[in-house]
Amino acid sequence: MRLQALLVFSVLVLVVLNFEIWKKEKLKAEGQSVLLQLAPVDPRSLMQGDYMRLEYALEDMVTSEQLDKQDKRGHLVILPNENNVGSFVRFYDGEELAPKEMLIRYHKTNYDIQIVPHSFFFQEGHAKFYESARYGEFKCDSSGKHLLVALVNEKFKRIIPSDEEK
Amino acid sequence: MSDKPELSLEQIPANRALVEELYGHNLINQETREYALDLLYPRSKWGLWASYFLSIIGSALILVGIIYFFAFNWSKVPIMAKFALVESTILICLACAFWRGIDRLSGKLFLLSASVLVGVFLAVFGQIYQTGADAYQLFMGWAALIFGWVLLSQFAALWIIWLTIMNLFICLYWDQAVFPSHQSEAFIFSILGVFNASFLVLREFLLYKKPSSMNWDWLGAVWVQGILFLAALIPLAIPMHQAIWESSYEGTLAAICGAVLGTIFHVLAFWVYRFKIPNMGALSTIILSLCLLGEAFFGRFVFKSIDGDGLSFFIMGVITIAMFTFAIVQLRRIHAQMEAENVPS
Repeated sequence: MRLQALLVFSVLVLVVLNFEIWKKEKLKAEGQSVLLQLAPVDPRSLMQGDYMRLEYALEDMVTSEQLDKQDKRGHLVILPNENNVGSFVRFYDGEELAPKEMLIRYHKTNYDIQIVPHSFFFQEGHAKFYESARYGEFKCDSSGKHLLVALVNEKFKRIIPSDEEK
Repeated sequence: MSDKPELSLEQIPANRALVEELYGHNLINQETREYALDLLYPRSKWGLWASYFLSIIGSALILVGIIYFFAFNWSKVPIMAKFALVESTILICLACAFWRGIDRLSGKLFLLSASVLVGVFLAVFGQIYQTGADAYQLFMGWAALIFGWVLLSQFAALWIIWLTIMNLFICLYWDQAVFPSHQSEAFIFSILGVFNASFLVLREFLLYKKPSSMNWDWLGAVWVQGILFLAALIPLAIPMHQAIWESSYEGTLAAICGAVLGTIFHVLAFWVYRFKIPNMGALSTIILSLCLLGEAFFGRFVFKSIDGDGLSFFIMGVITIAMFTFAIVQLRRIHAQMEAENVPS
């Protein structure tokens, strides 16, 4: 009896884990790409161990008066420019989107909004590759779910660390 | 204690303390003592203990090795290979748990490993997809996913791991999702304390009342009680100290609630471990905690009202000696009483 229950739980766990992978891979493959400018970060103080703290310029484009009226969690409407860099248009309120407009999820803290993630993980010792990061590349779906897939430099090139030049 | 029913000889448990006591009163000689101890604690038991110990250390090292393997080869391994490796290790652990059966220690250890590896999987998942910010979600998912295994395991170590994950989840959730104001941030201690205390109560209830025919002996180990007890006591003592020391918390609902709960816990725990489930370890911890609270109370008073460090430290020293001497005398008295109550005359 206990072993049967164990079997059920185990199958359940593995199904959930793989389903989560599948969801992320789907978003990565089918999501629409957009760049978000990183807020100026000081690489010396913000590089910690094997991850980098991120902030987005988008988060500063919202005034506190606009913010006060919003719920704790919601979506921003953003519009990508010719370089595919998104900028804040308005808070989403269930209306029809204009062409090219996209949704991105945010949550509110006490004094500003945050777009997750606020950190980017990389392998120990790869910090030097990411110092030139200016944008985060996101994949978004129509419901506003998003996934940070890479960091991008000022020439709009994805940063791909290579171990050869050690 | 005189109204206790007479115990027959076979109802008195034989253990090291009893043998040493008899030897100490010269009722048995050295040879008998050694023979008795040999009978009670056969040498082969040490071998068994060593093999348990080594198998636990061994599984821990293997797990650590797997974690380091990932950490140092991070970007060289393709994404799906990372997932496949973690998942197949989980599968192997589960298969071994089935093979050994979860009534044996080895089976339980495999289940524990699988549970830890689910956490590894979630960490890898969080890093690959950069889900970053809300770390509480990782611990929430982890605790939820392994809960079924934990329930089935009848394994105290796995429960303690689960409780640790839950504690982390509660702390992070409080920080990252509740965004408490300064007024309410001290509530976290009450929440943690009550959460952990409820598991302590559950453990004592199951172990001593035995509500069903199931076997609850696996909850019996002393360290389980110790960890649960500290996990409840420490978060509940912190708001009491805050109430004494930090004037910025004065009068906030969170501080008052925490201090009241802390007081209730100290009183109840003292009563339970003194009269219901006699336990010297728990009692000493409560009395130590009370001493520390006394220190804080007198400390605040002395340091606020007396200028000059030398004098206030001197006075605190005297108070400390007096208080701890009093506490130890009380403890010894309680200890003697409990021995008299529990050893049938």
